[in-house]
Amino acid sequence: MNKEELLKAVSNIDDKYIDAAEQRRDNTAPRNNAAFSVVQSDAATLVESANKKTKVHASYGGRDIRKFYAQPWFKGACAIVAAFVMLVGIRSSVWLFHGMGAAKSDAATESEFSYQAGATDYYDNGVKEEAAYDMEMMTTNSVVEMQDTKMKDATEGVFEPYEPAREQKLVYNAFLYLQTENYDESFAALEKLVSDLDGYFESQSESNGNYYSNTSKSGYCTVRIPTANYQAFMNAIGQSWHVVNKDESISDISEQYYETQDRLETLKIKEERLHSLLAEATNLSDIITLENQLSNTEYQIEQLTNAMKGYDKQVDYSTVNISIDEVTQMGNTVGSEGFGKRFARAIKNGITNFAEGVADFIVWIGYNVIEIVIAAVVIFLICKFHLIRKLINWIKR
Amino acid sequence: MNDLEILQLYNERNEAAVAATREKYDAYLMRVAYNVLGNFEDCEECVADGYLKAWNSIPPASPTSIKLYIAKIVHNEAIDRSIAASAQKRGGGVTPACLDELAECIADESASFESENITDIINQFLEKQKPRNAKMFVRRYWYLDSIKDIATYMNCTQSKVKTTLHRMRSELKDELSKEGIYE
Repeated sequence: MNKEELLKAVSNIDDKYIDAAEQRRDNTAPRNNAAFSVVQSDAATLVESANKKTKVHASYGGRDIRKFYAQPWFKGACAIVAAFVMLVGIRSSVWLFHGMGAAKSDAATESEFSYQAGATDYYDNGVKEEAAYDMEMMTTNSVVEMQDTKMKDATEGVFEPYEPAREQKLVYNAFLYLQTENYDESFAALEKLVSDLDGYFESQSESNGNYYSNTSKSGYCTVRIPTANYQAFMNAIGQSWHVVNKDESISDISEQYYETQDRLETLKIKEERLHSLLAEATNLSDIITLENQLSNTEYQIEQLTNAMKGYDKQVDYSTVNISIDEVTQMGNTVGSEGFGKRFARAIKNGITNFAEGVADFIVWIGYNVIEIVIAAVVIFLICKFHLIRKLINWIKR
Repeated sequence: MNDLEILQLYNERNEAAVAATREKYDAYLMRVAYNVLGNFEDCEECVADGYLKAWNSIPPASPTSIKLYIAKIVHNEAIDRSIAASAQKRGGGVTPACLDELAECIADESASFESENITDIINQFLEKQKPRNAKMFVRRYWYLDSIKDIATYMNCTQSKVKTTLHRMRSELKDELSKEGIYE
């Protein structure tokens, strides 16, 4: 069997196989290339003249602008620009919403603060009333005690002088959230104010913002102000700084203070008695027992003395925690502003945030330029991949 | 006009039969011839010969499909012309490649067959194959399509087409060597 015989045999295979393998393009006649080229040139001439008559496309460097659009690098550049705009848009939107949320929270905080202020007033009044009630009760009790004592005195023949009403021991605490456009100047002014009012900084921390932004400096500090100057300090802060949030609290520690004080006095009396008993004691076992008692008493006196010092410090010096943020634009109170003003401010803030977003994004690109170049190369290679291109074509269709 | 009516015209020896065939199947027949010869002028001659042979052979022949009957005639004619005219130079490289590939199936040139027997063996061989593979074989060795065209048509990769055809040629070679009569 030779090649020719085999070819002939294949030519004569069953009709059903030939029929089954037929495809649509078999029904199109092959073109006579010579004739076709004439037809093609005619068609080209017609198309050209039609283009001239109807629409003249712009050109670049003598070439059709449509080819320019079809350049892969042009498509890639368009994709990168689109991605960039999308990223910046998302970023600024997030910040805008965040800003609106912050404005809302400012307003909420303000109203909350007014509520809190009201509550504080109420609290103050309550405390005063309670204190008055306490005082009254104390007076009543002291009168009762005094009467009891007088009765005791009358029976035992001992006299104790009348104890006057005790001073209320109040501890002032406050939290302030401040915003400033110049952190360093504001902080220097705060330091001056604290020192003028004889206060001091208990703790202080500071951060210089994120790594790609040159703004957003912030700090946190705890200052102690003499209670006598507390109101003056708060007034000065309210006048000189933009207070976003203020939270004040007053706690009355009179009860535990005087209880501790009484216990301390009792222990001191006990200590004196133990000393006198120890001086009189002759039995060794009694001496040892008394010394043990004395050391326990001294230990308790020491503890209570420290506690008293702590209470005194709390009462004498109010504690103010201050958080300061440096911002490019102060948060404003929404309050009774009309829609127009609010909308205009929102637009302004949005534009500012967008500009900041763009600037920060460009700086971020600077930080991550190597990664971006690698990613761009990888994306370019992937785009060159046949299947992806087919997919893109399919999507385009 | 359907095939039965055309066949009726042939049986009546009506010359309109050829015109009807030409009108209906000229494009297909031209494509079959062109796949083998790759030359427009040769195709026209080849197809014209096909019409003449069909006119002369019907009747007594009574094919079930006029199209495939004439297509086979045209194909045989084209193969003859291709071999005779050294198709390697004129077939654009497609025909020689196919012929060389198919020649791998010849196990032993000394083995003799009756030509009808070879066709039967190939028909049986195609019958055993999956329809998809059989289509691939016919596209390559009857329609003489390029590997690329087959891959597009079958919606698979070119390497898949090459692998499948190689495996089928090996199987056909085995079939032919089993059935061969050696001198």
